[in-house]
Amino acid sequence: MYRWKIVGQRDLCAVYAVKNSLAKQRLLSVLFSGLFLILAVLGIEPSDAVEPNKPRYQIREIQNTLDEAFTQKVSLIDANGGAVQLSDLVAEHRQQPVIMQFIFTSCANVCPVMSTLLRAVQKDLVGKAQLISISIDPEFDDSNKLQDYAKKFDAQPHWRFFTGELNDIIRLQKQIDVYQQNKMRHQPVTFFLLNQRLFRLDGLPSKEDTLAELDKMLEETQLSVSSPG
Amino acid sequence: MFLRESLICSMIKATTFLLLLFLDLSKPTLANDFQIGKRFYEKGLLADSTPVSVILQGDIKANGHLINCASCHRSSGYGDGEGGNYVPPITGPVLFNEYAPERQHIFRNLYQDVQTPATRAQVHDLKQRAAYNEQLLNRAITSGINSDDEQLSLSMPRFMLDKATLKGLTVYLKSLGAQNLDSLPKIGVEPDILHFATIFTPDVNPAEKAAIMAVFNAYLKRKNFNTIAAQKKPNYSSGYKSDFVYAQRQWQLHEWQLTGSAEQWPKQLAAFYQAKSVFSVLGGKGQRWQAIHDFCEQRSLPCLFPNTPLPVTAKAGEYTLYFSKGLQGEADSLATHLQSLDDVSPVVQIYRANSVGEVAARFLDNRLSKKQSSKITSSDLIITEQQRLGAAFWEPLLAQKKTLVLWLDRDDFDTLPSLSSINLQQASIFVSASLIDLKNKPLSPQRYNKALSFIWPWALPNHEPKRLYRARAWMRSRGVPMTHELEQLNTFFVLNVVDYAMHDLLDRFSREYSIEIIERITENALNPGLYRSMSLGPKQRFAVKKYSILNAPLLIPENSNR
Ligand code: HEC
Repeated sequence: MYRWKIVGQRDLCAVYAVKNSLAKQRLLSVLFSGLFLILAVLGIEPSDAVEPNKPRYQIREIQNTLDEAFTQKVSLIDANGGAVQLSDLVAEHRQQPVIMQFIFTSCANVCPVMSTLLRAVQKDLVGKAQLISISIDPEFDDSNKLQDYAKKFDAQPHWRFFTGELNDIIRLQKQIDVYQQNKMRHQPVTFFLLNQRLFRLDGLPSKEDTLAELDKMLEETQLSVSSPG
Repeated sequence: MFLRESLICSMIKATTFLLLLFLDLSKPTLANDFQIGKRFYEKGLLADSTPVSVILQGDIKANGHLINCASCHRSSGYGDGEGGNYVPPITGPVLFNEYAPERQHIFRNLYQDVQTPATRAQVHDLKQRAAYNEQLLNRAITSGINSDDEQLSLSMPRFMLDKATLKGLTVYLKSLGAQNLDSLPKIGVEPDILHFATIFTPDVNPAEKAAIMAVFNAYLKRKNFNTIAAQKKPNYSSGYKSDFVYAQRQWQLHEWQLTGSAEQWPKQLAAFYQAKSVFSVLGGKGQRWQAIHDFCEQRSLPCLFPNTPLPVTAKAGEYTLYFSKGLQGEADSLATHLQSLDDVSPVVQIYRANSVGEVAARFLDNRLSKKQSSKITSSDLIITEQQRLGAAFWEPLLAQKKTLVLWLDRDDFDTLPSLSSINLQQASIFVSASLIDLKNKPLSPQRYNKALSFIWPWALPNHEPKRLYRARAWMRSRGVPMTHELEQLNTFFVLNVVDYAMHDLLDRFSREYSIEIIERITENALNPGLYRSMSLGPKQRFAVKKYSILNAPLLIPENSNR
């Protein structure tokens, strides 16, 4: 007998299915597919109605690193092979929040989840924020690899991908305290640049949390999110 | 909220019959449960070939193309104790048995270098739980509840599964990590001995082979001596290390010398493997590696870092790892270099018929012609197998304003006359440093003329990483004569990497897991010092990515009297 102590409402269908599945396997396989199909039709996806017991992320402002980190020379190359300075890139988007993550395209565990978050929020941020993913494995991740990665994650034009010189990118990571000797120990961190201030989010938040945190930061920094022009 | 949910439930019932009809038309296209399970695990495709629907972190929608079981639990099923997110093993024996946090389970995880305080805490936090079965597995995947009715964290996504896929997944997970004592010898693991092989193709000369074998022998002697010492006093180390002495075995290396032409090798390899299966193939040397690569892929046999100018680059393998892309990489970087120059005189590629140089020339052609904007023209000058080279061959070539690309071996290169009087209106010459074995055999100082440039796969001379000195000292102290430094240091690297990997593997003898560990540890820390930088990553198969094009005067050995 299972104890269904913390199951959310939406899981009742699943409970029903599991309990009876021995007797009615075939029927229930259909039922399951049915659930999936109907939810898909209704635009509802399976989800977890339970609040996690542990905080999934922490957010804090990082003082005084912004200028150091973003004003010096970090040459980047975008997915089309175009060269750009990180400082120019940041200056270009003064009027808008910039959300930035470090990833690498062959990364298995953390990066796909991080990139899936940006994939999910990008639709809500058209004209409101710029998204940037920088490879921490630039010798492997050339422009072509970044292009494939961007395509895989359905990146829209306001989400851009960069590679560059290994040493530059290591220095940048050190300055904002995300450098790991081995890229496989990569931690999930998302940076938010708003109005000359830098915030750091450690962990893997939900989409809703991410957008809510961004709103809070906007309020705090008094940056307007209306599309420019 | 509740109303809407119960509405959905009744709608499901109401449409059951319709769906039944529909589903019967779309039968699974894959032959058996194992294949359905494997494809789902690795590619996120359901039995009907559509990508599975996934929810991450509670509300982030994704699909099986972006996230699948292998992303986190890895191909081996052993999970990931290293990344920013501790992912538990879900191999058959772990999942379908009760999990009790015994000393050994926890120590096994801690024994590996679990890095962050957070992952360390998670390892200590592992709780007892009941064995899984198919239904409990389904519940874990769809609703995130484990076999003990506890909520799994949201870093384990939720997936929408159908019955056929679930069945396949169960079968597949049971196969993962399921090495029992009876089947271990099939992968080269005997109760007291761990078997490895190294492979030489017939073109390798006896001196090279002896130099490589000297490193293997010295390393294994030391390694096996230490293992015996540890097993004699099992409580020698404080803490948990001694719990795993039983997992250590004597290493035995088998030398697989191939003979005849490449067409005969598959049969010879099969016979070697039949006589003694091994856990992995270490290093070795040969000009052409395709047959060996194919053999390793077919047998799911890790084939680690051979010395070869022609790694298989067309399609990366699962089981074969290389130092670099070899001549393909050299041709790529030369093409990039030439295309970056303002003015390139016509390229003439010089190589012997049927040599590896011929293959390199085709690589360069491909790269030069790929870039439409490039105006570089290229032609070939093929030397027949009998033809002898001398001043009469070179002088007319050197007198023209051409870009000569030499894909030649050392003997041919040494016929090149002095370049001391060559001027800018004449030829400029690019040479593959690896093909002329420049690392092992430097030129005499006056030969480093500025008309000459090298495609250089190694660290810049006098800028080598520190490990080079340690590696050389290791060889000296073991009495290994350094006659072929390149191959010997490469062999030393392979042994180091495998030693680390086996150390992390403990008693979990999974070849796939060993490769995942190697993907992680092949970063600069293990660089033998020959290369500027090395690294791998999940499914990356070439550790060295950058080559330099160096003008010859930069390479004059420091201790030579100019
Ligand atoms: C994004 C990373 C990720 C993906 C993708 C993922 N998992 Fe997990 N999985 C985890 C993590 C992290 C845990 C541990 C959760 C916890 O301990 O609360 C876990 C736990 C589990 C468990 C419970 C293990 C136990 O000991 O109780 C099972 C079973 C499981 N995963 C199966 C799967 C299967 C099957 C798939 C593919 C359909 C999959 N996972 C995909 C990260 C992932």
